[in-house]
Amino acid sequence: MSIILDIIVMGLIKGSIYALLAISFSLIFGVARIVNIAHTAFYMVAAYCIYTVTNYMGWSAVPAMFVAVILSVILGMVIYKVFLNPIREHEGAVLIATMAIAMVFQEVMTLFFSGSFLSVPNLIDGYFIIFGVKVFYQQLLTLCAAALVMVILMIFLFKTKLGLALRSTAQDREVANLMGINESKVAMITMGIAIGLAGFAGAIVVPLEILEPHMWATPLVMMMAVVVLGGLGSLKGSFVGAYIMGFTEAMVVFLSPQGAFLKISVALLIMIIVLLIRPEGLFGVYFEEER
Amino acid sequence: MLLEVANVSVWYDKAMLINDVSMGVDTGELVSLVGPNGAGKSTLLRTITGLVAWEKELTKRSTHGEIKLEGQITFDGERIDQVPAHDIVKRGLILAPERRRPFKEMTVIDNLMIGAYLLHDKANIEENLEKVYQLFPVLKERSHQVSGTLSGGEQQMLAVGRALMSNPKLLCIDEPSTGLAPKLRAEVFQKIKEISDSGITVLLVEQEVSTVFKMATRNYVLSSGKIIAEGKGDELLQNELLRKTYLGL
Repeated sequence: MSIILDIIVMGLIKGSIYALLAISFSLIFGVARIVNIAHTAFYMVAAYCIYTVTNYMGWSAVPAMFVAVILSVILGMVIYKVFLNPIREHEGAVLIATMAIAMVFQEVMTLFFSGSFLSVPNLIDGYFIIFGVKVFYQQLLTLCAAALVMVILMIFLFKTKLGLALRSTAQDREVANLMGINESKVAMITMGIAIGLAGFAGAIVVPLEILEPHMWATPLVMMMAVVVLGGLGSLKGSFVGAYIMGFTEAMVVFLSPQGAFLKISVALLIMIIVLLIRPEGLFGVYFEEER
Repeated sequence: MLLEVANVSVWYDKAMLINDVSMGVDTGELVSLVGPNGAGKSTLLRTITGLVAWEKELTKRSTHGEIKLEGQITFDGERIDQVPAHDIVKRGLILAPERRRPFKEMTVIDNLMIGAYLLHDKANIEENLEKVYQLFPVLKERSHQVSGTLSGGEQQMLAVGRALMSNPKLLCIDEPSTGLAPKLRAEVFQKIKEISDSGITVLLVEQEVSTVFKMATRNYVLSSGKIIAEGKGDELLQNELLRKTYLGL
């Protein structure tokens, strides 16, 4: 019983973080047509930002979160405007550029904070026990925050005019343009929102994770796997895929603790199996070729 | 003239798709543009609505070939060939594109609302929606259905309805009858006639020459990017060479 609960808690947390990352990655890919390899690097920057603000400036964690998210949004938009927008139609160059950006972030963080493992204190300390399982308040908080942000995002996407513009641009940017939607402005706004979400994911997960300059690499692999598993361009797919991957990881860790190091391999194996059966992913959409 | 195209040429790489075209549409007219496949009809509509210029900007930043654009386009007394595509709708010029292109994963009502994206007056949007529903009752029935699941005819109605939501002065429609059963084609043409009668100027690209020539006030025949004939339907049909060579009648 307790092992099931353990799996549920960890699966939900991992899944929610992957969902936030994968959904925001999908948004950028869909609207701006950018494969943003640097996506999880922004997640790392936000995490380091929280560390700096709480540790060196003595702020409490909540304002630190706001600072982290706002800073990553600004950073994301500036980088988009300066480095990515000019080469947006050149898919290969975008891949190389975003990869380079991620590496620059990694090296800058190493320079300032060294490569050593750091940690950030919990927002709320303590835990409660149900069925013999310790559930930390911080875990609960991370979960609620992720759920809340996803609900807000869905309301934004499906109930507001700007959300409508975003979704239509993702589907057919030429027709969106025809209808009076300024496609490049929408791409810029999307970049800001998506990087903000990645930063937010970093901000809520940092007390549960180890802070180090390579912390972007594993989530990057998992995020890409989630997006491919769910179907490129499908938000629903990203959401469902994220929890499949999250729960798979949790199950491997708790059901065979000696094999915990295999958690990512098993998750990726599931992705491969799904792709063998459904090459377009779980909720993949057929992209009509643009002219 | 509401729309005036003067000496427009378009090159995609070395291929000249539009060759020194001059044409015009007057307020209240229903003008047709016909011609064989690959004549450049769609490209001409895309040029008028700013999509070719937009594509040109994109290709500049990519490794794809180059697009070259020449000539002047005037709409409602103002030059629009330098205006970005997303600003052209505001002036009352819109296109119901080739292959309909609805936003397939979105509902019918969402599609229509994107048509009204630039309108801010709620009452105006409601009024337009009411008009579109009146013209195409089937869209009202299916307003919450995902548009990708509509039939071809319904998708065409949606494409035209979406364009009508933007308060157009000039509505360009690109091949509305393609892929439709004869009965549906007749219905679509009937609706276009109704739109034209309601006071909206229409520029229609079509393959089905015999029907279109009966409806249109004036016609242009395009071949290999050039306008080779212009006139009323029955006049054009009297020209034996034109009929056999270009119109396939």
